Amino acid sequence: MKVKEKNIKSTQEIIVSCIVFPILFLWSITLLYPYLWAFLNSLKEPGEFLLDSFSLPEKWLFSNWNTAISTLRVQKSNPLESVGIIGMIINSIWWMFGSVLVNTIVTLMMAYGLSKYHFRVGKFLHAFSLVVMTISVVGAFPSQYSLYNKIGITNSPAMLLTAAGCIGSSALLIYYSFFKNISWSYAEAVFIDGGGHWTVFLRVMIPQAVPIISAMAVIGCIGMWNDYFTPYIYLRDYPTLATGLYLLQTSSLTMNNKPLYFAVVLLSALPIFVIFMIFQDKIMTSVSMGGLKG
Amino acid sequence: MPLKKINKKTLREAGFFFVMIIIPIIHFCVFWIGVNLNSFALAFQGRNGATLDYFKLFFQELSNTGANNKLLEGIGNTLIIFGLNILILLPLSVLFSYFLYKKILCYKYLRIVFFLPSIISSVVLVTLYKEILNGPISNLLMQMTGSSSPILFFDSTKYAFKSVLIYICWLGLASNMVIYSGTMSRTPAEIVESAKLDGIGYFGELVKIVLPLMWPTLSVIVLLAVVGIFTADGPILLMTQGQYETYTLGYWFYDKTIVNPNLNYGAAVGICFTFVSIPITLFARWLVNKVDLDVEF
Repeated sequence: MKVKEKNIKSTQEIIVSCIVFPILFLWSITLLYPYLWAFLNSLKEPGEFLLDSFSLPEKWLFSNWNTAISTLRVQKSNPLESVGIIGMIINSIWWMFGSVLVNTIVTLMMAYGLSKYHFRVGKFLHAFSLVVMTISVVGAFPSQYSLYNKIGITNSPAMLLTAAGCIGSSALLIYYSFFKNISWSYAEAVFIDGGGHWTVFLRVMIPQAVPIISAMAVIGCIGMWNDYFTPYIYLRDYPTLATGLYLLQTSSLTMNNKPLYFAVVLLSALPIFVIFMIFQDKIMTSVSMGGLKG
Repeated sequence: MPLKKINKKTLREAGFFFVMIIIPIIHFCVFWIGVNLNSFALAFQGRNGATLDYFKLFFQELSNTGANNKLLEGIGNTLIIFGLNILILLPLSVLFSYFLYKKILCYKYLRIVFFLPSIISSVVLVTLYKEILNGPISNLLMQMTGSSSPILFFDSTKYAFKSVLIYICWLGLASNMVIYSGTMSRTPAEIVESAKLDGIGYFGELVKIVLPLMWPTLSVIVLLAVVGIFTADGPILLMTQGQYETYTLGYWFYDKTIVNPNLNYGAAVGICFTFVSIPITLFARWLVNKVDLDVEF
């Protein structure tokens, strides 16, 4: 009887799989195919691309990638000055690492303070952070734009200051729960040995948090690398690669030579692909964990 | 003497605690409170002192149902995107995540591919989507229909917003799948096994076991989606720049800040929408709390 039941269930599963699997598989192909299509077309002559974008390249012009890197440029706020692809990559790197570093340090400090030091203000700040998370301020952009310009942080690396916030962020809650679960007896042992609060924080707590910090930092880096909007609005003289892609969309050079544009598009996605392949499990686990922590 | 020691220790602790929290507090004061106070200042700031003119203009624009009302167009499109996300994409995404959780054929490959759009820049995704639609898909449809003119997916009122919606569906389905299938994987195996012995079916397991157990996570996602009802947005700036009736509220604020700047009016409208979203948030929170499935795992 039991065997029969098992057979019926597995048949049900097989029928569902036969219907659902082709749908999911086809959908996954639509998500992957555009990259292959863009890669093949990035190796063609512009004319060949216009004639037939489905075929394989007649000549595999890997030199298109070199040409794209050396020729494509976007204008700064002063029309006489421009930035090339290498310059954009450098801007992407300092913007990404700077923002993530500032944000991680500030968030770790606050999460540790709130979770391990039981002052009333700490409890209030923790509860307040949860409330801020659920407040949706609509249309703050005009005011933000005006304020950033007033305090003079736009179009300079001072924009990194905007990353020094964590109240209302999910990262604060994740680090908070992490530190909350670490035993305070480690700290007591350090105090007995004559160490202070900074020793506990820097030499005991942070080393234990390295795995979660690295997972969160990777996710943060991906977000900052991909962010085209903030640099486009506030860092006009420091266009990142993502911003450059947006600006190049309408450039006459790329309009008439799509293969070059595809080369830059794929070039900008390449570092993320590589990071994803290396840290795949870490990234997916921490994203899933972020959801669980809610 | 011991009192002095305690005070010194507490002071040291308080000093350390102060250093740990002061930067985010300053940041919050400047970049959150400051921005919102500045919104109020801008909204009431007239040429000759305080004014309510921008709010009056907002209500006038709301009551004007003319064809070229970008604000109403933005509200309408934003609500369509919100509805699509919450009523269609979210349930479908949960359903597909269930198949991944049940380890459908090639589930590892599918999980990775569905996660890719979350880590690739929207500029790249939109570029590829536009190029494929404007190029090969358009040519294919021309051949199939025998038409001599290409289909203007992004340059016509007939198709532009539909193309935006298809893009949102194409990628939106995959957006939270890793979170959902991760949450589902925490379902205790012994509960599933005992339910199977009681004869529960494939979908019975989803409805009676998995969904109730993942409700705490799901409820937070639903709540945050409802809270952000007026911020539901598509990649309008990248795709159409608001042309061909594709304005959303997000793009409307961008327009009022960068394209056709009127910061005062933009700030006033932002304040109005924030106030409208407060009761919606409270109602959603009440509703989510009311659906108490009393499960824990």
